[in-house]
Order: sequence, then structure tokens, then C-alpha cells
Amino acid sequence: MNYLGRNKTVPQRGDATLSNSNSAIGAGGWLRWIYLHDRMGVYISLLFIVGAGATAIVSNSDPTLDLVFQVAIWACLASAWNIIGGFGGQLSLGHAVFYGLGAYGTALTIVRTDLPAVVGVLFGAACAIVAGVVVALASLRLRGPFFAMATFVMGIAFETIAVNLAEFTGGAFGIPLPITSGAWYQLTFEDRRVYPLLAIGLLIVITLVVFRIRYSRFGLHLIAARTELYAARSFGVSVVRTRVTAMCISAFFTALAGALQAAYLLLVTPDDYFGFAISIEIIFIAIIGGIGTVAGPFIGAAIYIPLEQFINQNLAGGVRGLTGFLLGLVLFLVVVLAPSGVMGGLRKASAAIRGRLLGRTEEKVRVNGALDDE
Amino acid sequence: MDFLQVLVTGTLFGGIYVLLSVPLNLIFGTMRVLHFAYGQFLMMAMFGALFLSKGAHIGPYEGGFVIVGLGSAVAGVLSYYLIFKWIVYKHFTTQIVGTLAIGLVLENISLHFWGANVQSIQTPISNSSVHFGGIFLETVPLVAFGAAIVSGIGLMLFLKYSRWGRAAAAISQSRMGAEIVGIPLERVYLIIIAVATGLIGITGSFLLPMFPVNPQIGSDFIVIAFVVVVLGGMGSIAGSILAGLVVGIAQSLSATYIGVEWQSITYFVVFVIVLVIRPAGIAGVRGAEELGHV
Repeated sequence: MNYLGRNKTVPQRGDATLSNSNSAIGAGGWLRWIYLHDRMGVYISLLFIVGAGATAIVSNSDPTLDLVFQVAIWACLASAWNIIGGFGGQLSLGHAVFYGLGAYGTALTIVRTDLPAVVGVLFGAACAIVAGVVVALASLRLRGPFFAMATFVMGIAFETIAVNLAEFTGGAFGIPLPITSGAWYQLTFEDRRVYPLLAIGLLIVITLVVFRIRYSRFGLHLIAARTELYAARSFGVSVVRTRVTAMCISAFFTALAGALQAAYLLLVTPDDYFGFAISIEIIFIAIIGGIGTVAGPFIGAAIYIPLEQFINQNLAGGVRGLTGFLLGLVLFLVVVLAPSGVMGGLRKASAAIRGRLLGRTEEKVRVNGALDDE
Repeated sequence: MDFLQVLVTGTLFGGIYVLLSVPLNLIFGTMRVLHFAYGQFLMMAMFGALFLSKGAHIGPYEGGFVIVGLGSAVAGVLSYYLIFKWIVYKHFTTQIVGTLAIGLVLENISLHFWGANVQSIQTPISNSSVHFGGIFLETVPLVAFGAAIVSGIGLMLFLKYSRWGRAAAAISQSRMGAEIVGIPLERVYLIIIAVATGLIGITGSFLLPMFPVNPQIGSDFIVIAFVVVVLGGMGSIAGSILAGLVVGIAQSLSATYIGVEWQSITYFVVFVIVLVIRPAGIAGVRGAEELGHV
């Protein structure tokens, strides 16, 4: 029964007996447990967060700070998407809905009321949770491509509504936010370095939550509902409740990232927040890094965002549509040729190296990518 | 009389939605691939018809739809070898994200070469209308409606009586069973893709006189097509026909009695209601939506 007793040094990745042995590792030992299970993930996340944080503190040039901020925000978005899309296996094509709700909730609170921006952030996040419940309940009987299609249509619906309710949302031109005095509760800061640090703070919270989910009973339910639906059900996993909860957590963090982005860019438009391109970019980042791995979104964001900015600034100036063209082409090649992303490649490589060094070649390489189920 | 007018207009547009959604449903029913680049394929076909009309002065009605249809069928064969061959047996996430990526590529190619501006053509029957019994019908949607009926019947005959059509029907019932009895899956896929993409070409030709084309128009069409396909039931052509008419009439009614700006919201409402009440759609196999395949 005791998992740790069976194999003291090298726990197997993704082993389902984990929740039984919570008592064996003691209260609060979950961080250590995660470290034992996903060393590579922990190292990559730490490297990413420390690197981004150090850059934000040391740097004083605006482009660098902007880059760090965007990388952190998109890592947050992809990580949040990964909860339902990666671990849960429900390919959501409508995460821009939550991103937009977070941004619009914040913007409308600032513009229409006298309440501080922080309240707006909470309001936007609450809206996103409600939307998450609605989306999840409307589509909870759907699986696979049907769920993807339903979330796709809902994403488009929200964009249409945001454009059509012009007197309330400012229509296609969106809502410009006023530059208020630098008070923390208005989310405006004199020191530009605070924004990237805030984004990194959010990222740390999300990372801890995602790690905690991945190696908890709840996370195992979520993954079991993806890989072995009927087995999970027959063991008493409430698939619906698990997925709705995952959707809500995902929506909540996506909305927080949207609110932060709105407070940073000071302009909220339907296209930039509810647009379908946002949902695609979130998925793209998760796929480059590796769907269904905790550290995948970090790698994805660290690769994609700088590359996108580079192409936009240096190459796409004279060539209309180049960024989207390259994005599409690379996305197709990645998803067809290497669906488990960079993390999948790293895991295979590390297993191969370990096999070479320790002579354990018979050990099967196991990659927990969401696309390797079938 | 006014109500009748609204109903008839709705039916005409419903026919167009049928034309829009049938190829999508055909591809999904046979290959189990949800074709997210569908809207962009349609957009490319519309641009093809546009250039044929402007460059070669062959309007969509003067045989242009045949040329665009055949050209699209050839493009469909190409797309099989370049795209579908690589994703047809993959995980559905790969299929969806892969076709989305292709859609993105096509959209940006057309944006690069033809610009973001809206372009349209004039046909001899633009702005004309027929009327009988106090009901006015614009000629352009009427012709598109006729094309929808003809191609819908043609497709159903093809699926029912031709060798390849029956093979496709067998595959959509059971892929493994079809393979066991010796149906060459890949060749049937190739033919179905060619037929469906050819239909997309014909659809694009008849849509062009009604909807001015620009590179972003694809995503507008795919939403309607998805709503119709889900409402009718995945993999059911007959369901799609019924659902197209329902959506068209619902949209026409809401545009008249609620307001034109809410027209596009109507089918989202219809969509959510269907999802909650009967996710399998009108004629779909019950439980298919939960299994993730038909």
C-alpha cells in the first residue's frame, strides 16, 4: 500500500497511488512530493520565474520590461488553459471569453464607477467564474471535437456581444482607461517595473496551484476523466463536478491575467481581448511547450512571445500577414510532427540519457502529453 | 402577409445555410475530422469566383460556378495530400488545431495578396427581384436557394447510389467494419474531400453576389456552419438541411421583430438551447456527442 515504501528513490511519474500516500509524506510535504515527481518541471518553472523576475528588477528599459510582462502574462494564460485543456483534455477554443471578461470587468468598473480598480479585477474574475460555470454546464455533456466546437462558437458569441452592446462596452473601439494617480489599488504605478513583477507574482500563484492540482486527488480525477473516462466513472469520480471545477479555476486565473493586461495597456477592445486570435495564441503556447505538463506553458511563452515580437518589429514591417502565416505554418508542423511539444522532447531525451548512464534501457519512456492518449 | 414574407426570406437564407454546412458535415461524417479551415476554404473559393468574374469576365452564373467548383475539387485533392493525410488518424486536438493553423495560413496569404478591403461583384441579376402573390423575393438568394436544393439532392443521390458514396456511408457507420470488408479508406477519403471541397467552391460562387468578400469572412461563415451542423446532428445530411432552414427562419424572424443588430446573436441562442436540450442535434445519433465521435 505504501507507495514510498515500495520504491524509495525514484517515484514513477503520474502514478495513481499518490493520494493514498499523503499521510506518508506528512502535512505540507506536497512541495517535496512535487519535487520528487516532476524535478524537471520544478527546475524549469524556477528557472523561468527567477530569470524573469531578475530581468524585471535589473532592467530599466521599457521594451525589456514589456517583453517580460507579456511573457509572464502569456505563461499565466497558457498555464490556466492547461488546467482544463491539458490535464482535463477538454480542448477549449473559447478562453478569450474569460480573458475578455477579466479585462472588461476591470475597465467598466474603473470607467463607470468610483470603485478602485482592484474591486474591478475581482468583479471581472467573478464574471469569468460565472461564465466558466455556464460554459461548462452548457457543454458538459460534450466531449472531444464537440466541446471544442461549442466553446469556439461561444467565444465568437461573446465577441459579437461586446461589439454590439456599443453603448455599454464602447463597441469595436473599446474602452480607453484613464491614467489615474499612482495608487496601488488603482493598479497604476510610477515605477514601470511593478507591472512585470505583478505578472510574475500571478504566475507564481498559478504555478503553485497548477502543481498542486496536478499532484492531488482532484488532478488525478481530472486526468483519469481524460484518459480513461469509463474507468474513472466506475471508480466513483464525478466527471462533471471535476470538469466544472477545473473550468472555474482556469477561468478565474485567465480573468486575472486579462485584468492585469487591461491595467497595463490602458485600452480594452473586443478584438484584443475577446478575439479568437487570443484563444489560438493561448493554445499555441501550450502546444509548443507541451500540453498537459506543468512547465510546458513556461517554455512555450518563453519561445513564442519574444519570437512574435521579433517578427512583428523586424520582419513583418513591409510584409502584410507574415506573422499570422508563420504562426499557422509552425503550429501545423508542431502539432503534426511533435504534438507533445518541447517538454515531450526533453522528457524523452532525459529518459534516453538516464537509460544510457544507468543502463536502465528496459524502462519505458512515458510522456504524459495530452495528445498521446490515442 | 408580412409574416409570410419574413418566413419566405428566412427559408431562402436557410437554404443558403444548408449549402454552407453540408460539405462540413460530409467531411466530419466520413473522416471524423472537424474542418476548422472550412471558412477559409470558402473564402478562397469566393476570391476565386471574384477574380474569374473580374479578370476573365466569367460571372458565377455564366458557368463560373462550374470552373470554381472544379478548381476547388483539385485544391481539395491537394489539401488531402498536404493536410488531411497527416491528421486523419491523429488525436482530435491535433486535427482541430492543425486545421485551425491551416485556416490561419490561408487567411494571411489572402490578406497579403488581396488586402483587407471588402470586394464584391455585380451580376446581371443583382438588385432584381421577382414577386408573386404579394411576396417579394430577391433573385440572388433565390438562385442560391435553387443551387442548394440541386446540390443537396445531388449529394444525397451520390451518397446513396454511387459506389464511392456508399463506401463513404459505410465508413461513417463503422470505420473498422468498412476496413474489414475491404473498402480502401484512403481512396474514399480522397474522393470525399474532393467532392466536399468542390461543393465548397460551388457554395462560394453562389455566396459571392450576396456577401462581399474579404479575408476575414471565413470565420463568420464557419460559425453559421457549425451551428447548423450541431443543430442538425453531426454526420447527418438530412439533419443539416432541416437545421439550416430552422436557423434561417429564426434569424429572419428575429431580425424583423427584435432588431437587425440582434440577428447574429440569434443563432448563438439557438445553439446554446440545442446544447442543453438535445446535444446530439435533431437527427444525430444520441450519445454521439458524449462519445466524441459518431
